[in-house]
Amino acid sequence: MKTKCSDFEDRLSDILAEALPPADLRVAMEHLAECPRCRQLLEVARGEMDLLPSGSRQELAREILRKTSGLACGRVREQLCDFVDGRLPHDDARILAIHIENCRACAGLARILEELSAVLPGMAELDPGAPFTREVLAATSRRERCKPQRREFLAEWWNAVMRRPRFAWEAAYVGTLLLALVIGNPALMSMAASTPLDEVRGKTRQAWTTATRELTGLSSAATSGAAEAAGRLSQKVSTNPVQARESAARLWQKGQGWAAHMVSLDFARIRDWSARVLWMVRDSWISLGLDRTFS
Amino acid sequence: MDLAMLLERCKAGDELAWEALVRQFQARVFGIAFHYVGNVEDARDLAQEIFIRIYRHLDLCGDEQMFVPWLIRISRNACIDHLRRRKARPVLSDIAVEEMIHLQAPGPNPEEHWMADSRKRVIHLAFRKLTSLNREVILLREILGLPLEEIASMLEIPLGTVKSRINRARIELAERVRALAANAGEPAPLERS
Repeated sequence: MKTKCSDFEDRLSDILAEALPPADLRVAMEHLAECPRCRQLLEVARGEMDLLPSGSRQELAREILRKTSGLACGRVREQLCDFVDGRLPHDDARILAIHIENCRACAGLARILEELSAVLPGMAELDPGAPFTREVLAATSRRERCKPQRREFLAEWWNAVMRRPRFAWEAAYVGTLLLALVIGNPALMSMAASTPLDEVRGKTRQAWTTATRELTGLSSAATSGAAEAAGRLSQKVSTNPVQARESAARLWQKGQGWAAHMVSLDFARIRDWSARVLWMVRDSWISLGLDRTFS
Repeated sequence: MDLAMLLERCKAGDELAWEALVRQFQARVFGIAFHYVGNVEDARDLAQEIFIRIYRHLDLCGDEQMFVPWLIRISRNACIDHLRRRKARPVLSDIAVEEMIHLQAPGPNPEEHWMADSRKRVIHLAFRKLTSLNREVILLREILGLPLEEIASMLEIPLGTVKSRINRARIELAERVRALAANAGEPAPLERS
């Protein structure tokens, strides 16, 4: 019995699955030996032959993707950096490589990414030119390291303040506040300002002078007392060491007593002077009529 | 040169060691400043300012392994301060990034040199066109090669965010390079065999 092409086509799936009985397989093989068309069909079905030219194949795949899942370029971009860096798992990398082989845009991006990985590290260092080192050394070498001068610190601080974007607004705000307090106060404007202000200034100066004098007197008395005691002690040390030791012990006890007395005295005096100054300022404030401003 | 020894001597006030340190790192500091501010004059002034800061605060730097991240951190802070000041008081003119071409080392032969410079110029122009955030992650990761953890700490964002941001920035840079190269009529990027 002669096998027809249609019979062979019916048996093709069984041939591929190797599920054809041996007798039928022999008949099919005999037909294959005689029929070039069915031979080609079998090769195509086995994936051993592609009838489509390369360009049409790409087009067909693109068309199919467009009508089904859509192009995967967006997904590729998520993984492209890892692919270029070789950090993608093996299976993912193989799948992505298939896309890149067939997508010119993604292949171009992959090439640029590779190029960037090679070029960018070289951009880390740029030569600033020969005078640069000299300028840096001139700006640093003669300075005291880690301890900027007070003037430089103030200059830096001032520059930083001046560079602040809102500096002008802030200065204007503070200036307006001061003007409102001093000039805009009706009580202050209505009086003859010079005499009471002079009075306040005089009283404050007087209080300050008194406080300074007291402190200076206290300090010089303590210094001269200590110097005198030290002189006596050194004299005794040279003549009689035993007596000197006893004197030193007595002096130490006395010194502790003096120190305690001085501390309490100082605190008491300072408290007293502070109260006096505050009262004077308050009196002057009342005499100027300024107490009404904040009441 | 042994960085640990250099740092130790600098901290002890050795001026020669300081000069060696300046010479060793000036190109990198200048590079960072240039990539941030985009013009040579500002970058040069800024690099000087950065070195003065480093000089004054050298004692705050830890061991030699911490020095480069510390240096980059100081440089970045100085650049950000500078950009803020410039934003508040904009300058009248900005020198173009093409100036960088004069700063590059010559290549092995004129044609290769031209290609390399031209290509680098395209890449740099594309880099300048990135958003400031993408530019910064490209600078810190791809140019300076900082570890992701260091970048996350510097930018105060989670590690995962840093990774995804770097990937997005790289893709954006690649697309911009492609677009610029196409506009300039340059040959296709690195058709390597």
